Amino acid sequence: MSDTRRIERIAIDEIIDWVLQQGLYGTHFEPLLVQMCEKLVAAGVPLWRVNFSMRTLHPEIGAFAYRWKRVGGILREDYDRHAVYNPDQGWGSSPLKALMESESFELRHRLTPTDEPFPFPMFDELVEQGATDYFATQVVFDPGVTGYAGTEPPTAGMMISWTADGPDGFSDTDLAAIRRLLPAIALALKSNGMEQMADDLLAAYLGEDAARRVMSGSIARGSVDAIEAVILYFDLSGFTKLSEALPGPEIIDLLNAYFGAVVPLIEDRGGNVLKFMGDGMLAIFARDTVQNSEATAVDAICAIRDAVDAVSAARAEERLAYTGCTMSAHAGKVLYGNIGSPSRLDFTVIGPAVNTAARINAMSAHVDQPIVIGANVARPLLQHRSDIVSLGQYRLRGVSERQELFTLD
Amino acid sequence: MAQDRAIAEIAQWVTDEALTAAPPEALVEGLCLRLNAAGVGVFRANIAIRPIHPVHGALAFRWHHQTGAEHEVFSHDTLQDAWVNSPYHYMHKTGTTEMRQRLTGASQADRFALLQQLRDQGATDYFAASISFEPGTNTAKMDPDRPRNIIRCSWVSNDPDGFSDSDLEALRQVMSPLALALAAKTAQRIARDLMTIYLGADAGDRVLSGEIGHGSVTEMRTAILYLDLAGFTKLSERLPGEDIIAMLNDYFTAIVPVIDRFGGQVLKFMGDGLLAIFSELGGGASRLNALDAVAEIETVVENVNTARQSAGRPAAGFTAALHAGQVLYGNIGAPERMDFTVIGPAVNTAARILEMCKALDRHILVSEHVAKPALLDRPRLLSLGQYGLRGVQGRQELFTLE
Repeated sequence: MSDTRRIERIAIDEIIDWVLQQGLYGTHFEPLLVQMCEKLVAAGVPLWRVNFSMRTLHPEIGAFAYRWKRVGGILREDYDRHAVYNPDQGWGSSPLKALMESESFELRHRLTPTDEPFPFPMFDELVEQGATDYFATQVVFDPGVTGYAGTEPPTAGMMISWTADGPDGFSDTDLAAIRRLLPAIALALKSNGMEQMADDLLAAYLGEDAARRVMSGSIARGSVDAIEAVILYFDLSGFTKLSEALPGPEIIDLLNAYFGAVVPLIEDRGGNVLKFMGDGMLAIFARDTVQNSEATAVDAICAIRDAVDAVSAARAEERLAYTGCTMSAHAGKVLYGNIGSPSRLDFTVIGPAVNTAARINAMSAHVDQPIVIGANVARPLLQHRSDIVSLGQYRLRGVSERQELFTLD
Repeated sequence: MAQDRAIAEIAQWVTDEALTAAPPEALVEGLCLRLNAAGVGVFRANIAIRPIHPVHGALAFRWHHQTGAEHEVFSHDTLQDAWVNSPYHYMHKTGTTEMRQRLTGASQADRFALLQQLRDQGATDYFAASISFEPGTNTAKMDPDRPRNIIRCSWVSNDPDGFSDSDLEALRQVMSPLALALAAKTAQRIARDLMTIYLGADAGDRVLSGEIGHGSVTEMRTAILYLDLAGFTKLSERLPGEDIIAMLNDYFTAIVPVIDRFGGQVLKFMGDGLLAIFSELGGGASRLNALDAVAEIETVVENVNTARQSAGRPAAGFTAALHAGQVLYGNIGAPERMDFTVIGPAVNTAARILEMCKALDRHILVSEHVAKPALLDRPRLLSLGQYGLRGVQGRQELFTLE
């Protein structure tokens, strides 16, 4: 072996080791990819631009891509789940599509202009910008976990396209080095990616806070925290009737329209949506994470009331079914954490305050008010808000003391 | 050197293998066989990882020259015993990342029972090392009871001379890719487990298969079971929180496997209650299965009560409502925050039936949709008459299990 090739081999070995280390440390994709590309350039590989893309299982993002340029740094792009394979966005004639559909794991094309047109229009653009070589690679991950049940091509894994500038493009040694590096990158990204995926999915299905607790390891079954919180119930009115009158897809559409508007109003204020129960939703504002949790909760209630009205107005205009909502709030100590059996767990809240909150919620029909607020949420706010009105004192089933209930004007 | 080249190739092999579907123990076996072929005599290897997991305390992947590959799963409880007396624990407490112990030589009272066992099997050398996933972490400061990102490997030789220095170098070299490979594989397994644990097996599978677009729902016929543990409200006023949680988990631990066994799945826990479905997706007879599940739950709850009472602990009752009908099953909520759930009139009816338990003074109520087809085969079913349910059209004949 000549000296230069031996030097390159050692350099590539070092880069491989480094990538594996970063994988272990869980270094974020972006710095990992940037530094890796810079190290490759330093080792003599004439990289001008590198694109990495990976599919995700995030509910909304179908795939993400990192685009690195030697001059210009790195950019991230997310592709909407439904638009990812959109032919209108150039996917139809893209070399990556060809690679994905081929049996091979590589697609290589020198970018020296010849008499024949390039197989992909994109190459013309690259040549205009000074590129001289194109090498696309893919690494397929275990289809068992990330395979897609839909009709889209399932290639689960990552695709990397490497573009060179400089008069000679990629040498055979360069390509060999990239090939040797691929499994290490794939492994580092896969390991990272798995954790990211679990993170994303848990956040979507348990809520950010619960997901964070799970991923931080404080989730042995039965691990609960005693916290003080404002408990918020939200229900759509007349849902039973609606669900009998409307066909399935319209019910879902209705639910999602309202929930879609309401959830951000709670989460943006630091609340946690704990669960959806049919047409209802349970959320908490934990006192240790939300300043002035009572005021914040009532604030959220007002915002939700307005948002529901807005959604209903919009739907009425489009001749879609619409409805109103009822809400209730109560504050107290709850146990918040993991409950269930070893194989099946749920994040939930338990405790007398939760029962009281449910009873207060059930009072809405009785007091004929869409919003019912318990005393320990309302009383601290009486000085600051003139729209809080007492409804009187009530006996709630299963609650030992009488409760004064309030509403919002 | 030839061995250097061989070890480098083994490290490359580990990285390649990491991307396949091969289970971790196969990876460990392949590695050990290759190490032996390259002249590094490994007689036994043990790789341990403590993943983030609500149930698993640790996973151990082992290979033994005579018995091949195996893996062991430790629950949080069983882990404590195994952990406290192990060399790994010692390493953790003393903040060392490597431990080397020759096992030849006379009368050394082994501080670790494991090493004595190994010595009895003919082992001559023990080398353990840990690889941290977090740079610069001072392991001594870590809380030993929390999972943390460390992989621990131990290697045992039965060569008369034990491990040579170059053997130890070779082992150090393969541990990095090995650690990452196992991290990736266990991360995959953990992601799947977490989905199953928090969403249920079916919902978890659908999510992982990519079928999780916001708003994806399936229409299906299913039996619906609402179950509430009774008496918790009162108890939660006088018992400390941990006792309440432990009690709930006691009952749920007994009830959930019954639901699983009869083909049902728990959709959610709501405080002291749960919602489960028995769908036709599993293939017919789901309503009968659901009925049998309820009967079995009754027995199982009685057993838990007996056990708790004889230990002087409070017991709980339960109420259950079983109904069947057409539902929408799938993803509902907001794009960034959703739930797998069931929706539809049948679900509302089931909830109303549950509320009737108190009025009818029965702890099990079954709707006619489930009971009527089963009357001949399930003699315990007893009609309680026809009832109007709030918000539900027409009367419903309700049954109980005698």
